[in-house]
Amino acid sequence: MNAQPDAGAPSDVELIAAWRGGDEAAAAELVRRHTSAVARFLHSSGADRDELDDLVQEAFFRAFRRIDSWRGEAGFRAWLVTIAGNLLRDQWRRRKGRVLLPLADRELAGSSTPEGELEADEAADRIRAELARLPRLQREVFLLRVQEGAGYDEIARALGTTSGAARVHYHHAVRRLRERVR
Amino acid sequence: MTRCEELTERMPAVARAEAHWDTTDLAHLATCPDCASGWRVVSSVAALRWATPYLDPDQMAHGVVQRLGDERRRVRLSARWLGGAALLATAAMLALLLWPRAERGGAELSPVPVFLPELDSLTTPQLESVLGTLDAPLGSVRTLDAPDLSGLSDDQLSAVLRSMEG
Repeated sequence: MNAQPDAGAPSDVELIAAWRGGDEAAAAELVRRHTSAVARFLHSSGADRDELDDLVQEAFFRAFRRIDSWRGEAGFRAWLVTIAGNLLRDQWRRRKGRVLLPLADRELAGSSTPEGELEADEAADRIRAELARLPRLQREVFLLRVQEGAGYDEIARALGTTSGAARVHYHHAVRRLRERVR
Repeated sequence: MTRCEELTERMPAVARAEAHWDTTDLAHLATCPDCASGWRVVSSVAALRWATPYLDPDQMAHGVVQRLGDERRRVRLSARWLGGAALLATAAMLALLLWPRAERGGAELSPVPVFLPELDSLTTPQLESVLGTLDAPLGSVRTLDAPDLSGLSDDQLSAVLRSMEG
């Protein structure tokens, strides 16, 4: 699931090795490569637009601080996403479980008409609210699979579970969302 | 794996435009309400990727690298400070260990004043006599607290004992 770098560009593993050796440019390249995926995951999971920037930066910062705990079994992006998931969980705990979602995010692109745009905004917010209500493992498996196209083996390694369990979590998430969003 | 499970497995890839539905899949989706609503959910979530607010990757990289640099500098400074503190502590320990020993050596050479007021009135020969008794073997000198009883008979010694017991 790692982002496919351009031909000839260093892989995530090579960049991480360079960063471990003190190369700050390697860290910058990793951030550029995975910013969108981490933001996408956090936003889909219910993170506020206003806090997205800080959360993404914090996720990267924490990841680099404990880069030694990444052993390359799971893809770097999947590992980053789990760190972002921990951050979001901590934030929700601080807010005593309240998930705050914007009523309408004006930046969501929906339709060419204002009414259509509003409907698209509301539908997106509803999906995000339902995603936020899923049990954490179900939500993370589901988002890694749907948005990042991760396979069950990689998801299992990133989340510390088995690929069979990851598959069950994905199907449960689909069923729950289907029932709630219907 | 049922047909519904199989389609649900393929939904993410189709939603991400990495695969597509064929005519049989489309026919199933048209007649299976569970699969149809599942497909709506999966495609909506996949579409959220386009609804995610844009964060400038270059700006993000700059911010993260700056924080990492600050952190590294802080760690380096702390290490230097700790190294300096350790050096100071070692120096202080050495000073404590070595300096008083030298002081003690000096103390052994210099006289320690002892104040005994009862000796103040004695003349020099008398003082020398007192000093002489200090160096004499135990029992060779008569003192007031240990009178010489060797000249007493058994009866006299018994009388002394009786007098001590009151």
